[in-house]
Order: sequence, then C-alpha cells, then structure tokens
Amino acid sequence: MAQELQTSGGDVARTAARDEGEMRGPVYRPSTDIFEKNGDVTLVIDMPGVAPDSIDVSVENRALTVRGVIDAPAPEGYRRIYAEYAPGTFERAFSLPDSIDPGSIEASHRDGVLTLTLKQAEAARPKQIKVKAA
Amino acid sequence: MLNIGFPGAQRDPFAELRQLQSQMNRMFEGATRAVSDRPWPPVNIWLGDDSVTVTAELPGVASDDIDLTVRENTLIIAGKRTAPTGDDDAAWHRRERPWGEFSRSIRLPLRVDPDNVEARARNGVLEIEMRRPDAERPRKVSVKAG
Repeated sequence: MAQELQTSGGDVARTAARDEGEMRGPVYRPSTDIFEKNGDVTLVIDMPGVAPDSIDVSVENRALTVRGVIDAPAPEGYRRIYAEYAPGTFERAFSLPDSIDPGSIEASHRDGVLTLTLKQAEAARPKQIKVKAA
Repeated sequence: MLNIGFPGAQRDPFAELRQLQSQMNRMFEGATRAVSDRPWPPVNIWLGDDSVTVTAELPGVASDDIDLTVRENTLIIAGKRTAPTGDDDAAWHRRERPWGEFSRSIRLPLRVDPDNVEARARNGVLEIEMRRPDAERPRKVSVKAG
C-alpha cells in the first residue's frame, strides 16, 4: 500500500496522462509544506492556476489524494514565445497516519494555495492524568 | 547487556511515540523535486501585435505583496512570500515551498510603455500585460499609385 502510494505520489512530474479518457495534459506533483502541532497536521499545497471549485480532495483507505486541473488559457490574441511552466494537472497522494481522524479534514483555498487541516483523532489525543496527593 | 530480560521492556513508554514517528515519516516520504536552483517565480512570455504579456506562477502571494517595476524592456517582479506558520513549536515534516523575499528581472522582447501596464492576479497566477510605446508602433504606409 505504501509502495503504491509512493509511486503515484512521486513519479508523476512531467508524465503525460494517457490512461484517462479526458485530455488533461501532464501531471505535476505540487510543492507541499507539512507541519504538525499538538497532533494536528497541516498540509499547504501550491496549486497555481487551479480554480478552487475544480480541486478534488478524497480519502480512501487512509490515502489522501489531492487533484486539480490547471485552468490557464492563453491570453487572447497572444502567442507563447517562452515557457517555464505548462498547463496540466496537479496530483499527489499522502498516506494518513492512524492518529488522524479522516472525517475531520478541512480544506481552504487562497491565492492558488490549498490548505488542508487534519485533526488528531480523539482516541489518539494524549490524556492528562492528574495525580492526587494522598 | 543489563537490558536482557528487563521486565519494563515489554511496556516501553516510548514505543508508541516511535511508532507515531515512523508513521509520520511514512506519511511524508517520497522524493522532493528540487526547485531552489530555478529562478522564482516561473514565467511564461506571450507576444501580441503591439504588446507583450508575462504570466507568472505566484501561489501564496497576495496581490498587495507583489511589487512590479517596468522600465524600457525590463520587467522586475519582486515581493515576499510568507511561511505558512510562524509557530516555533510546529514540527516540520516537509518544507518544499520556497518562502522569503524574491526578485526576478525579465528581459522583454520589446520596449514597453511603463504607463500602459495592466496586472491581474487569479488563483495564484499573475498576468502582466504591457504595451509598446505609441511612438514605436510599426505603422503601415500605403503606397500611392503614380
């Protein structure tokens, strides 16, 4: 399972998607920051050119997949003379640790950046046990 | 050597912590695409009849934090990208997104009028449209029949 995820998450840069019927161009692996605080995990994913309503976040068998098609039409009346980036699809998969509650994932989008907040499962939260003085 | 047969080994208080750590490491595994050696932001350049447009991928940079300078045939895109958290207590598992101040100078294929620049930002992509100065526009000359 972990192997499978690694392949779909790591091997995608500049690989044309041929299996899908729709034309969506090459698949890119978006740059991602991940940090954790108090057991909660935040994923910050760069998806420039992707409209918020075309972002797809799905969880299956503790695998979190993020996908978004770049909507970057050529400016009207212009032809491209130099390119450092190209349209296509951003896609990346992450495996969720057991400590995360898959039902708690919150997503927000701003300036082409997708932020996912993953809350720690209640059962995984450390419990404070007070010691009473006798 | 002294640990052999130590009764507490069965209930190692750090076992769970290590397990969590290895789970976290697994979650964040995979190769990182190196981006630091490339100029940032990445741009595309588009040529029109009397104008040039530069588009740049600037995810996470608010319009107010972008500084544009246009002079003759040079465009400078500068600004600052902030880290997603300033919290020192946060534990980082992956840090692939560059942040901090950036500045990139782009040479344009034609001289442009600095007073005739239009910039728009949408979903983290910036589009800068610049026009040729009026005096430098190519003019059509009709040939009179003698």
